[in-house]
Amino acid sequence: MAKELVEKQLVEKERIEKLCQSLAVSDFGDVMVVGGGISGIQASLDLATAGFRVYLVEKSPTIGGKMAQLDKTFPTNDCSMCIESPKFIECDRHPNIEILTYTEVDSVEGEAGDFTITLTKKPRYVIEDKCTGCTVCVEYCPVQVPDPFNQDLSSNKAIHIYFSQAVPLVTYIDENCLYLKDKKCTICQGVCQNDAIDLHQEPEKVVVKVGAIVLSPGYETFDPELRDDYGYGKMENVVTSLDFERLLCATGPHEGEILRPSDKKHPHKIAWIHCVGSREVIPGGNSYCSAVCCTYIQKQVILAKDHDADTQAFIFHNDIRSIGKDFERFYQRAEKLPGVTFIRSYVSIGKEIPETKNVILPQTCGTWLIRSASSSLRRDSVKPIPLILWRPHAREFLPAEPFWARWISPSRL
Amino acid sequence: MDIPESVMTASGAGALCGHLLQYRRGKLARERIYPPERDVSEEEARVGVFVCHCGANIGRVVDVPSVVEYSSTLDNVVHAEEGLFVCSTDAAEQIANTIRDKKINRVVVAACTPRTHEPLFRDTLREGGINQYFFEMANIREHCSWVHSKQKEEATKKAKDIVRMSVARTIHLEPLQEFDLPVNKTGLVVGGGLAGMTSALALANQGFEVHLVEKDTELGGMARRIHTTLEGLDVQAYLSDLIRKVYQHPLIHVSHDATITDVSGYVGNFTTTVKSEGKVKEIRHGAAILATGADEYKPTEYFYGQDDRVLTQLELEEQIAKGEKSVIDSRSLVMIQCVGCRQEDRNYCARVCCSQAIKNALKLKEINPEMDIAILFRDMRTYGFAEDYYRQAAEKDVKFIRWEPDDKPQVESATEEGKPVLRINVPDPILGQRLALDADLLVLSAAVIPSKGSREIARLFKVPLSPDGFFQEAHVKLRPAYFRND
Repeated sequence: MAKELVEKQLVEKERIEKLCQSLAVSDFGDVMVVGGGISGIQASLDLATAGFRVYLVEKSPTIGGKMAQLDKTFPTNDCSMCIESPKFIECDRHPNIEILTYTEVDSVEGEAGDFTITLTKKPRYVIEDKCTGCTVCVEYCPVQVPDPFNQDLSSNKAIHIYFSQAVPLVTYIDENCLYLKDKKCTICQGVCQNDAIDLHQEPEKVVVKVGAIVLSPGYETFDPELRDDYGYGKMENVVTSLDFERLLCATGPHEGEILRPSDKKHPHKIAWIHCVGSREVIPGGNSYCSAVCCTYIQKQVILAKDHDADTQAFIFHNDIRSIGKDFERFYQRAEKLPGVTFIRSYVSIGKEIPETKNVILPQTCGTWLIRSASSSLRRDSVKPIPLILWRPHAREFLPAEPFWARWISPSRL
Repeated sequence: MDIPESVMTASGAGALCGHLLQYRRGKLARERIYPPERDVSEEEARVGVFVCHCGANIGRVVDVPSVVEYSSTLDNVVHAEEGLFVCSTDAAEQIANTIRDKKINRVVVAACTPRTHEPLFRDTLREGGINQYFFEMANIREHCSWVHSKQKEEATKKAKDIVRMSVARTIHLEPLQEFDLPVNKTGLVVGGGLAGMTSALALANQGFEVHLVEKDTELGGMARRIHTTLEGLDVQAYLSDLIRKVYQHPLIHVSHDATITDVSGYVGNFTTTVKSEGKVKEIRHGAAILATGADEYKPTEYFYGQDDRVLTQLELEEQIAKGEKSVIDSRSLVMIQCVGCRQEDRNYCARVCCSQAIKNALKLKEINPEMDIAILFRDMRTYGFAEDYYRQAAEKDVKFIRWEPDDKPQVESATEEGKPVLRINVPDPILGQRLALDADLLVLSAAVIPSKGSREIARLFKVPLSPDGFFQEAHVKLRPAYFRND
């Protein structure tokens, strides 16, 4: 009985499928979602489930965005990838979502209801349909390159999969490939059992017609090296908070061990500096507040203490902005941990000790610090603090319609 | 922007697309095709066990190879293997292939939590051609590696126990069939404020009938008391336009002066009894959106309610909008932030008061540049682009003075130059001295509290509340606008 029912359903489904295929010519969809981070993923799933055919376009080799790089999420300290990756697979398996990774938007023509979008599919030098993600090519590739997923804190191969749960789970070849540089090496081609390597791939133009576009390009983190502050890029043990996420993470450069970049040893004192590149009106800075850093720094403090209970943490801030649900309790949790000191002051970096690569924060951090700090803190602050972290933040946002209730709808559409 | 806001705005953008493209919904959609389900009723139980390292989340503590080895010795287990991430696309495909190749008819995945991953693996079983309910998840991450991270041997032993129990259970599983139930496609929106009206319109614009239930005699809610935004936009103009759209929409039915007296049914088919303007009606609906909003805390602090010169931010805004002379002509005004919140009984931040205080301060400075304004704060929480207005206020000479909870501002009545004033005594941590500020008006940034009716609504709809009395979402990050009971 059950079997008959299932077979009947299947016949019906096949009939619908055929009908739809005849309608859905390959370049025709309902909505294009530009940006495959958690927002783009959510918008795609909502729309696809509501009966719309969605193109999900992402410029990097996999969907997932910044959330995939986070170790845990505040204020519950849930594993970030564990909650996000089921959504990758949901997108991947959804019959109404077409995922286009390593793809960028070239031009948009038309109007709401009838857009024609030209995309460029960048060459992966790997044929997506043939690659099984077996990673034999990665094993044999002779070229070590900094791993972008791990914020360049560890190395990967010139051909590699972006991260273990990537969707699509296929390799791509980056610009450091010896063949692409000097036509010197074709080892990956030789070892691939599926003939999936195509070193002669060219950028491919794809034209798609849709009725609506959702823009979810996300954010980049501020690059402190640009302004040459705080020694980032010069002092090895100065990292950004996104770098630190990777250091914390079990899939990170040291499998979840927090090790200093200079000597791969555990840091015993860690300082966090808030508001780097934001809340400031100076050239290269940004006037706004990123609204997430206060709480993710508390998360990083809690996790760093979890990794090593003896870690001393110093958090240099100016206002703690615990604005979300349960954030206030989370702040209190971080603040109450032994060896954790919140200091209401911006701080500047003194110098790096050449032998130890320890970073020293200056003794006086302004009258604020002295007034609000305990004597033990002042004593400690002259001692070397081996790892300085700071907060990145977003910039170049999309202009939204000039009213708060419609801010999800960019004025262009 | 935090993840839940990203997710909510993404869903909002999706709803706008749904409105725009409503005429073509479903035209290009396809159904998922699964292979036919194998009839296993005559087969012996053949269990496949897949043990996940979860990167290092499990593997660092639990000895995964030994769990695999142990699993393969269990009765009915015909296949056992380990995986770095069993949830990755290739691993899931591999499981589906193994189910087919080894004629597996029961699957145990020893990994993480079924809350996030069970749907994915059930789907994998369907891909493998067996009933999706022949599945059992052994949670050896939360129950072993995370809670026993320092006791590797015991954690491994416990993982084996959990896997053994899961295997035993799968053998007794029966296949289940899912079928579609008719769903009522009418929506109910509880609360006729901005959120409620916006949701009602979003549903109606996508072609769904909506009942909008408001306890007051008018729509608008809290927004009726707000006149401008921080950016200077006209809230009342927007609100009246929104209200007009709601009333004019043929698919939206508004009930005023309404009380919900009973809710029965379940997601997809609810019956809600509403008493409105003397009549009782039963509304049948498939989905409910609870938008009951929040209230402003009525302070018991700082002579509020006893002295007319003490107002809340909302009251100040109303006075400014009215052009009340005694307010806009004051010589000096002091605002105290975090009144009634960020303290033991209300251990949360109300999120809006810092920006509202700055909004009102800027407005007053615009009308009366001579006015002395001081904002007494704990942390200025002008997050996002509101920061620009904080800077603007400082440039316009609004004084910001920080206080600590163990030394709160003190208020007393005093006389200065023969005129009565409120004297606010507050320590300034930068000067290291106590300041006495004489003010004509004292404005309290009072906490945002759950609206009066929300506890009763939560009871009727059987939805959970957080310890602070606000609605509790299904998942803080990924399901911020859903309730757990779906």
